[in-house]
Amino acid sequence: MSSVTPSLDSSGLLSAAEDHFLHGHLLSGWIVDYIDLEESLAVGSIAQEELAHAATLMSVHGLDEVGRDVFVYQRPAQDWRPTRLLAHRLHDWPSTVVRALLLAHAAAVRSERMSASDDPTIRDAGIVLAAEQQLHVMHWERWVQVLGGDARTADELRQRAAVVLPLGGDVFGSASSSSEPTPDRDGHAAWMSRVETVLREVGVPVRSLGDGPSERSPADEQPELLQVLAEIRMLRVEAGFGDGVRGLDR
Amino acid sequence: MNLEAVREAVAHVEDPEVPVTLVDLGVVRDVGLADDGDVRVVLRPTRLACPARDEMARRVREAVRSVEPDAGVAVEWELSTWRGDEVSGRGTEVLLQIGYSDPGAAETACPYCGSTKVRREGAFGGAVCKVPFSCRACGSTYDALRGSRSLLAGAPHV
Repeated sequence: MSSVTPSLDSSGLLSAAEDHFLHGHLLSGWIVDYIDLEESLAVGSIAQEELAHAATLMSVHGLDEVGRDVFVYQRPAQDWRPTRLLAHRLHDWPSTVVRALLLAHAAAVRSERMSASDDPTIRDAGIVLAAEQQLHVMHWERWVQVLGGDARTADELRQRAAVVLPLGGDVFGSASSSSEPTPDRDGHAAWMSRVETVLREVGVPVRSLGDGPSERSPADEQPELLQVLAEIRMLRVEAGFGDGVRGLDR
Repeated sequence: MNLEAVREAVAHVEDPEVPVTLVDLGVVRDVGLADDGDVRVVLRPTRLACPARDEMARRVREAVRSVEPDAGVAVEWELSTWRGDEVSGRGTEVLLQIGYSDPGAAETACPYCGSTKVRREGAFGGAVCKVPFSCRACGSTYDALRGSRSLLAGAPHV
């Protein structure tokens, strides 16, 4: 299975790692924006796990500790091709919830398919990732139900979802820059089915995710993403691996 | 290479957060020799994002070198889901004493009074591996480890 499923091939694993890493980074901004203490703990844990899942996927691909560091902090920005869901900062909670729901379900679909791989390393990683992502899925589904089930917040959720969903059509899109990229149509369909079940309940149509996956775009075509990547890289000491973080403007 | 001495040294390594050895927690999965002669220690994280992994690995290396100063040490992390029902009886006893529920029990119960009239206070606690609970009988709050048998089974809670 691993050799023929587009999103589980070499570029697919690293593409998913990019998504997990960026989502963990962007989500962590909410840790200090106290909606309530319990939610801060939840967001902190989920962001932490997104970074760990990114590292796991990079390891499965074969990157060691130094390789993972280079992949995130030293690779040219134009080589990044995350989903457009992560190429924008989302400044409101309903948008953040919708994005997280889409990404958690995508991660669940991907990891469950990994767990059916013939490759034992991919299979073992898939089993653990699938089990851990299930917690994220449950968390974000609950938030969709809370926001969508309350007359005070339901309209805003639907309005925000209408803006966020069109960005997600490339979640299972090819990240390859080759002339014949291979989108993962089966992954997209399985993912669509799951998120539609959740979002339909709160009156959010998912048509804008598309009938099939759209292609991903390089980061240098997405100015806000370049800013986010620059922000991430600013945290590193120029001396290189293992030297901690640069002192921010304090 | 005195592998028995190495195993004995590793058996005394404690988790950085709770005073339970990594062996009793079910985190140490294997201690042996790699093909190149290095000591190979296989660990299983309670959660992939456990922030104590580096410290656990450091303590394991330190323990090995306390008895084999010149040994190479390879710490490998297993890609498996950690299960609370693999915590030893001794480990469980300590966890109960410091306010965690029995990780191997089929039903979660208050570690202070033993009541099963407990309520889950959310899905996330103070660390990725903890789930917060409160006891309806004695009013205590406590944590369950996320891989606990009662949580893996999805048991209902009062």
